[in-house]
Amino acid sequence: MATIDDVWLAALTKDEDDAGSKNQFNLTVDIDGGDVFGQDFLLGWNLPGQGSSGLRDGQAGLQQGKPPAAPFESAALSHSSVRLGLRGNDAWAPRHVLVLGRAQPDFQPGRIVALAMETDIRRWLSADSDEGKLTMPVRLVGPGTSDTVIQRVLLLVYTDRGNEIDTESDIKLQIAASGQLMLDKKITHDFNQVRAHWHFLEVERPFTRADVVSKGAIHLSILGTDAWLPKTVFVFGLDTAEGRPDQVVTLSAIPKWDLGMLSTDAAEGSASIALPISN
Amino acid sequence: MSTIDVLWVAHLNRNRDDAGSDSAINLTINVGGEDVLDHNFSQDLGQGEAYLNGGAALETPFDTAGLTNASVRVGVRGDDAWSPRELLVFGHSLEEFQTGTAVPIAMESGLSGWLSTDPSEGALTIPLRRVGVGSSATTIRRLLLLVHTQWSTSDSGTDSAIQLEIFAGENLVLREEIADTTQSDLEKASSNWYVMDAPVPFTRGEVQAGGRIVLSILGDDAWKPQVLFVFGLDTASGRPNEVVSLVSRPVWGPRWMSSDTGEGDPSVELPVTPG
Repeated sequence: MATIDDVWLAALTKDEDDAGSKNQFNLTVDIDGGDVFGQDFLLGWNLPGQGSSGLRDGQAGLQQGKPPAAPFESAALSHSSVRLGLRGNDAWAPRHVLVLGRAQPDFQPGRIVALAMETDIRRWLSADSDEGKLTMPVRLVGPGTSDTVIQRVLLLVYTDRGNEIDTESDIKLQIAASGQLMLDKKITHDFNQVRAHWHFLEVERPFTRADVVSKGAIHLSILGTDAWLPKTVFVFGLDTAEGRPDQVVTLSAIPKWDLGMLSTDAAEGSASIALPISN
Repeated sequence: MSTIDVLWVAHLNRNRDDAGSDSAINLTINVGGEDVLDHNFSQDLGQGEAYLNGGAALETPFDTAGLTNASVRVGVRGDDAWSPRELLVFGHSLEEFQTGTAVPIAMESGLSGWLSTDPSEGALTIPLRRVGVGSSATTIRRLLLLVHTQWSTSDSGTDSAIQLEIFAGENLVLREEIADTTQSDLEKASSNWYVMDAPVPFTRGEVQAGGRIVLSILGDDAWKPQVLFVFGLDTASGRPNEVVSLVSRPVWGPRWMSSDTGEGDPSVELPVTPG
């Protein structure tokens, strides 16, 4: 297990009326009766003049928290440790929630590991007892191993604020393993500024991270000339084809993108970039 | 371990400005990632005041066996910030309800933080760590008396002092008079949280072996308690590790208390928790 010195929260809001919330999202991590992490997340932002913070209906959020007061051991966490709450009466209906930790460098594999996850959530959260629960538990998931069979892929992407860094071009994620293309998915929506996106992607055939490492690759490509500069890209492999996973394998984790612009216009960037594989 | 189907939450607010709140208390109890209880308790209480909440049968009973220190959390459902100093969660199994056995579940003592849905005012929730269910052999160094005074009858509150005496065998190990504290003492429809030092540490077993627990009223202003619990704490100060059920009267009964025997009983020997 890992020593965690930073925590990320990712969520996808249900795409239904009033599912979004302008309130802040409260995440606590408790070990043996002591809170080792407790923080409020905005999760969603808007450009100046375009509205307040929070998540709209169907919107995803991805945010890095402030570091905990002291690193904590993921091995000491239990299924009762992680809870997510809402700081107000603007009820929120989360669909999926993922809590990530950054492991200290001596941990292998990768530095970003999944800690807890819930999918297909039925609860609403609100401080108003007529509208929902104040908090909900988020159960632990395992980080998997190189040999964990991956049945599905989760792509989390965040595009920051900046001049001409967003794109209307389609993008594509490809994963090759053992010499075969296991995933080849095109994503056709815009990647706007200060927006996060959450995509579950079906695989052609199950594979393992070891298969990717030995004879494979992960490529993120852009299919147009509208250049794009993502800020954060996470690629995880899930051990279940649907529903909540038990193991979430880090395939590639780039908290701060430093691989350059993406564009089919060679003067502006690279059409395809090989993502570093977590080992 | 016990199956809990009746739950109580007792708390004492810090005695400082604005520590009271009318925001509802939210209690969650989680076992293995599943909330076995998510319940709201109303409160509208000032600083330095106490309240004893609950007592209703739970829709879904839960077992204490799977609880850990991370299982129990308390929060508030509003932005009227709340600053509790003491918190105790305890319960009953219906099977044991009539025998007077309360089961301590979690407790925090000497809290100094604030709770609020407003991020600028306090935490949304805080953890309450488990406390052990003390046995008849646990050494008791302090007493916690929780009492709620009848609300439905006029004049059920009292200005008279009350007194608690505990005898371990024939030895008087505690005699404490409760007269005028910073709380609204023994007033109609109010709760009180009283902690007393035991000059001579003792065990429940010693009380059961020829001893007794006696509650007296020292004046003729008649009093009608509704609910009364006495717990023994194993530490002389701070948070206890074990909490021993000594007296559990979730339903007090019909009798009033008064030094005027025409109005009620001057003193009552309380039934000691068996076991």
